[in-house]
Order: sequence, then C-alpha cells, then structure tokens
Amino acid sequence: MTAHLEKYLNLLLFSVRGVHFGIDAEQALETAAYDGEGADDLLWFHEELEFAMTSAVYAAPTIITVGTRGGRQYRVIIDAMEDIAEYSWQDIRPFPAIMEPFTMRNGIWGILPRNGRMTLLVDFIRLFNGKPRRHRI
Amino acid sequence: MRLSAKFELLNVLIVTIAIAITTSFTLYRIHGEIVRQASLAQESRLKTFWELLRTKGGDFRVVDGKLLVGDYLANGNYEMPDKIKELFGGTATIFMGDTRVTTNVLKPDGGRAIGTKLVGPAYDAVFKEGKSYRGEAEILDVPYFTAYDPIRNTKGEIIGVLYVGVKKSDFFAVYDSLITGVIFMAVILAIVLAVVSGFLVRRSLIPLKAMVGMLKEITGNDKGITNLTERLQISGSDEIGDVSREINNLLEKMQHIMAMVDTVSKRIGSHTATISKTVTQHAGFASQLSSSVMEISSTMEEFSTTATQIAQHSQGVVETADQSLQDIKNGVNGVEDLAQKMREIHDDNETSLQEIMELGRKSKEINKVMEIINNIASQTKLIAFNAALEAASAGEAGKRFGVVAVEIRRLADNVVESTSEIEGKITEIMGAVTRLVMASEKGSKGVREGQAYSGRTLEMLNVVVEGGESTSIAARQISMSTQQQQIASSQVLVALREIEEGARYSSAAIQQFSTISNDLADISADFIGFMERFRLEAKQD
Amino acid sequence: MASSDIPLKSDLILEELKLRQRTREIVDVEEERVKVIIFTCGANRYAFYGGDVREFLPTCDISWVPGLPDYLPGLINVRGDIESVIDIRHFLGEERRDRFAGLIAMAVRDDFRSGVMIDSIEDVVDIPVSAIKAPLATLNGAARDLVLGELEHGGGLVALLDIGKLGAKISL
Repeated sequence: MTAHLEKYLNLLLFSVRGVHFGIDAEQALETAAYDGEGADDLLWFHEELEFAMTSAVYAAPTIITVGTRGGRQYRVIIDAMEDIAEYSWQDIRPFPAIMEPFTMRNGIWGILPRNGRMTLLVDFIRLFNGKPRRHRI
Repeated sequence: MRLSAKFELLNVLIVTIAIAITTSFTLYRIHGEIVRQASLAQESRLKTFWELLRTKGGDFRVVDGKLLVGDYLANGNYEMPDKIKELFGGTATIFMGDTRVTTNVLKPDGGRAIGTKLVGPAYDAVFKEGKSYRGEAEILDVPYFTAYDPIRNTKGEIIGVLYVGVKKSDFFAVYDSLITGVIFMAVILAIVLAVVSGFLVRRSLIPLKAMVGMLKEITGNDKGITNLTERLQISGSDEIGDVSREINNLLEKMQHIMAMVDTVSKRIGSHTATISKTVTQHAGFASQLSSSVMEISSTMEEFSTTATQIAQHSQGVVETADQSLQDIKNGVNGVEDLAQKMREIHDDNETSLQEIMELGRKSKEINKVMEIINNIASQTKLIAFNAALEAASAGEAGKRFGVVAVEIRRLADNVVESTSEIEGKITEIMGAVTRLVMASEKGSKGVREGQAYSGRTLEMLNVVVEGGESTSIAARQISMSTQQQQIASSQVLVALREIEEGARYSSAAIQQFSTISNDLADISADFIGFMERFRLEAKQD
Repeated sequence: MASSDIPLKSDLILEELKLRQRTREIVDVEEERVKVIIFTCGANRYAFYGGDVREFLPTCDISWVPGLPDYLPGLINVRGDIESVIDIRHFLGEERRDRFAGLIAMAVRDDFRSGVMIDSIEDVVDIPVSAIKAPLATLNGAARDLVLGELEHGGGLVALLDIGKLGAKISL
C-alpha cells in the first residue's frame, strides 16, 4: 500500500559495446534494421553518447527514429536490442550527485539496476535538445 | 617242262576235254531222246496193237489152249504182228501165258519164234506182279526196247501178254553212226587245234624269250657288269608287254636306288676316312689329357698340403681370438655390473627426488591454505576497520565496540603474522627443498654422467667384443674355408683320377673305334668295289 | 623498619604505571583525538579522517558510464544503492594501473558522497589532533590541493587528505 500510484515505464532495452541502455519506448517512433546505408542523417549511438572510442562494432544494428520537441526527427543506430518491458519507477535510481552533471549532458538520466548490472536510462529528447549537436547535414 | 610245252599240253587238254564233254553230253541227250522216242513209239505201237485186237473183239480168253480175242484166234495168226510190223516196223508178239503164240520175231534160222517162253524181268512184272513192263530186254540175245502189257480175261485173270518191241539197234543205228562220226571229228579237231595252239603259244612266248635274253644281257653280260641303264624293248598291251614295262620301271628304280647307294657308299667311304683321322687325333688328345691330368694331380697335392698348413695356423688364431674374446667379455661383465649399480643409485636418487618434489608440492598446498587464511584475515581486518569507523560515530557504546574492533584487528594481525611466519617457514622449506633438489639434481647429473661414461665404455667394449668376435668368426671361417678347400682339393683329386680313368677308357674305346672304323673303311671299299659292278650311267661311246 | 622503608620493585613499577595512566587519561581528556585511516594508494601512504569514511568495501565491479571524466571510472552497486567511484590516483599523481585490486572507501562529507579507490588499509587509529602537522612544501603539486596536513605513522610521514577538497574539485 503505497501513497502514490505505482508508475511504470515502458523501456526499450539494448546494449552497445557491452554497456546496457534503456530508452522510453515512447521516444522510439520507429525502428528499422540497419542495412549498411550510408545516409548522412544516421547517427551512431556510441558517437552521440561520447563513448570516446574510435570505432565500435555493432553486432545487430537497428535504426531508431526519435522525435524531438522541435518536431525534428533523428535516426540513431543502436545495437543488440534486448527487450521492451515495463519497469516500476521505484526500481530506478538517480545518478550520484557528482556524476549527474556529466551524464545529463548525454541524456543519461537514471540507472536501472537489472540482472546484476546497471542499465543506463537515456532520454533522447534531453540529448538532442540540450546538447549542441554535431549536425552532419 | 618248258612253259610253251606246258601251254600246249594244257591247251590240248582243255580242248580235248571240252570237246569230249560237249560231245558226251550231246550224245547222252540224244540217247535219252532216242529212248524216249522209242518208248513213245512203243506205246503207240502197243496202243495200236490193242486197238487192232480190240477191233477183233472185246474179250480175251483162252480156250483149249488157244487164245481168242472175241472169235479171233491169235495162235499162229500172224496177221496182227505183221500188221504192226508193216505199220511201224519192229516186233510184236502175243503171248498166251508165257508162250509166244504169234510173233514177228524171227529166229536166227529165219523162222518165227513161236513157242518160246518169256523170261526175265518182263515175266516177273507181268506174271508175278501183274503189271505192265516197259524196258529193255534181250530177245534171242538181241537187245530190244520192249513193252509188255498183261492180257486179262473178263475175269481179270492174266491169260497172256501183249508185246511190242523194237530193236535197239534200229533206233540207235543213227546214234551209233553218229557216235563214231562225232568221236572221229573230235579227235581230228583236237589234233588240229593242238597244233594250231601250239604254234600260237610259241609265237606268244617269243617276246618272253626275247625278254629273258635281254634280261640276261642286263644282269650279267660278258664283263660280269650289271647294266642298269638298259631297258627292255618289248611293247604291246598284253601281259608280256606289261611285265616288260614293269621290269623297265623296276630297272629304273633300281638304277636310281643303286645310284643313291653309290653316292652313299662314297660318302660313307669319305666319312670313315674322316673318322679314322679323328680317331687318331682323339688318341693323341687322350694321351695329352692323361699327361695334363697327372700335372694337375701333382699341383693339387701341393695345394692340399698348403691348405692344411693354413688350417693349422688359422686354428691357432681362433684359439687366441677366443681367449681375448673371453677376457673382454669378462671386462664387459664388470662394466655392466657397474652400470647396474649406477642405475640403482640413479633410481634411488630419483625416488628421493620424487619425494622431495612431493614435499615441495605439499608445501605449495600449504601455501594455498595460507593464502585463504590470509584472505580471511584481510577481510576480518576490513570488517574490523569498518567496525572502528562505526564505533567512532556511536558514542560510548561505540567506544567499547571500538575496543572490540581493535581486538579483532589485533587478532587479524596476529593471524597475518602467524601466516607470514608460516609462509616464511614454508619459504625456508621450499628453499631447502630447492637446494636439495638442486643437489640431488647435481648428484643425479653426476650419476647420469657416470652412466653415460660407463655406457660409452660399454659401447667401446662391445665394439671390441664385436671386433674380437668377428676375428674369432673370421678365423673360424678361414679354418672352415681351408677345410672346405681341402675337401674340394681331394674332390678335385678324385675327379682327376676319374678323368684319368676316363681318358684311359677313352683310349681303349678309341682303339676299338679305330679298329671298327678300319673295318668300316674296308667294308666301304668293298661296297664301292661292288658298286662298280653296276653301270649306272649310259656309256659315252 | 628497613623492610617497610625500601619500596618493592613491583610497587615502583606500579606507581610509574599508574602515573602514566593518569597522565594518559589527562592527556586523553585534555587532548582531542581523532580517528584517521592510514591507507596506501599507488606508491605512497595517505590518510583520511575516519569521520569522512563510512565504510570500506571490498573490490567490486565498477560499471562504466559513458561521458564521464577519467577520475570517475563509473558506478558501483552497494547493497542496492548506486554510488559513484572516484579514482584519486588521478589527483594524487599516482601511477594508474588498469586492474584495480584494492578497496573502495565510502567517503561522505556533507553533500559529497562517493566511493574512493584505495589500494589497501594500513591502519585505523586514533591520534591526537596535535599530531597532525602542516604539510611540507615539497609535496607534489597534484596532491597539494587535497592535503590537509601530515602525520607520522609507522615510521613515516603520511599525508592527510581532505575529502571536502576532493569533493570541491570534482564538483567543478
């Protein structure tokens, strides 16, 4: 019996380079398989989130079309889609205070400890609205 | 007897016999025919007689010593027989009983033969058997063809005989004259034919004579040479011609054969000459062989002696080799014992080493346990530290807690100290073990070197042994070879003796052979001489 | 008279001891003592105030998060709570080793809260405040910002680090 309503978040779970991520499923307007097209408007996840590595090998790349507040859509290539599942807000943890400034900049706003590992929750809207983008177009 | 005479005689015989047979046969047939005719005539005569009589009356009877036919009196009535005679000729008689009562048979004095009796087979036939008689009979010593029929009265009693007859001579008159003529003809013919055939035969046989003459020429003329080049000159398609042709063929073949024989004999002659020569040569060889054999024999004797000497020497070598071999083997045994000892030491070492290593391993395991203990000690320490921190903030109770924490830490420290002491000890043990291992290794190494050394020594000794053995073997082989040589040389001697024997034998054989070849030469010469008696080639005149 | 005049050795000893005890107590009462944690990091020993450290955690996996600076290697999960981890070697100028086999000290001061990577704990002791001396000028530059002072322990000098300064550095 809790005071407030149990809230659930529908998360689209994936991993890139061994790091696990989750995004609000509402943010994914569309998903499609990445077949190697070299369009300019395709953004690589690891680049956007500043993995700070020169290259990443994606085992099962998928394109997510993300909408932003400005109505602009971005297409981001993610990897290894694991699941789309509901999780309770109570399972989510905020970042430690000293880290938050850094992570928020990349749209990583929370942590879902899951299966003994940390799933980092990403908000693309925050990412694309907040940070100056490197527009390739 | 000469062939021609034979032929003539044969011819005559044949002709004569042929004619005779033919004639006889013909005459016989004629005779037979005549007889048949006669009997036919007789029958018809008799029939006629009967008829005649029957015209007189139908029954025959004898009344008062008179034969009556009906009313006709037969006795003394010459009518009937004469009639018969008139018709046919010949005789006819009526008998009353067995007495002639009327006849035309005349006695020699010219009178009729009345009252004479019937005698002979006719009488038997008629009166005894009651049958007719047909046949020849003599009447008054004259041969007749007769026919008798019994005369029966009405009662069937035979009261007389009716007879007709004809002189045989009547019938056979022609016949007789024929016979004479024929025989005469036959004789004449025979003679003529004999002469003719004789002549012909002689003529036919002339070629034969000629052939004989020619053959005489061929086979042995005045020089005594048989001339096989000559041929008979007779031709013709008769047997003599054939014979002469065949003889010519034969002569041809003979010439051919004799030519071959001549050739062969000449060859034989030359061969025998060669053989003689060869035989002489052989004799020469045989004696050479004999002398060579003797030389070889003496050489072999020397050889044998040398071989024996070698055998003796090699035997000495063998003994020496065997002795040294034995000594070396003893040495080898010594070294092997040493090697064995070293192996034992090595094995012992190895065992110790193994045990030491085991010890080392156990120590390592202890180390692991130590690690675990240390870990636990560290963790304990951590807990102690954490406890200390907590204690700092928990006030009075915290102080006591802090003390406890300190004690725990001290315990942990002790543990760590103990473990590090143990670790130290273990390290020492490990060190000792290592040193031991190293020392043992050194010792082991020394043992191995010793082993290697003894191994090498052994090898060298083995080489020597092998060498010694091969020497021994070689010496034995030499010994054996010399023995074999001796055997071989004695075998050779035996063989040589055999050869010598053979040579001598062959000499004898050659001698014989020589004799034979001489004989052969003689024979061949004779043969050639013989052949000269044949002319085989036409003379070049 | 002689036996009662000459004090027993044991008495002398006891007297000394009791005197020391009283002195210590006085000292204890008089002197403020503070708990410090002596630890090693890299090649050197450092110290924190005990009050600054909540607990020590044994090594655990640090989950890397993208976009963080070098001195923030990532997150750890402490009994369900997510804590950050600071690699102070970055600030101390110590050599960095990739494989971290040490401990994490949970440091808390006011709003600052984070795990701190240390190699090992040497001791946790109470020392008088007076034992903390001013830092030497010869300390290397990086560490100097964090050093509160120095204290002697285990035959050597140990730099006492200020968690507060660490927190301030990070928050910049």
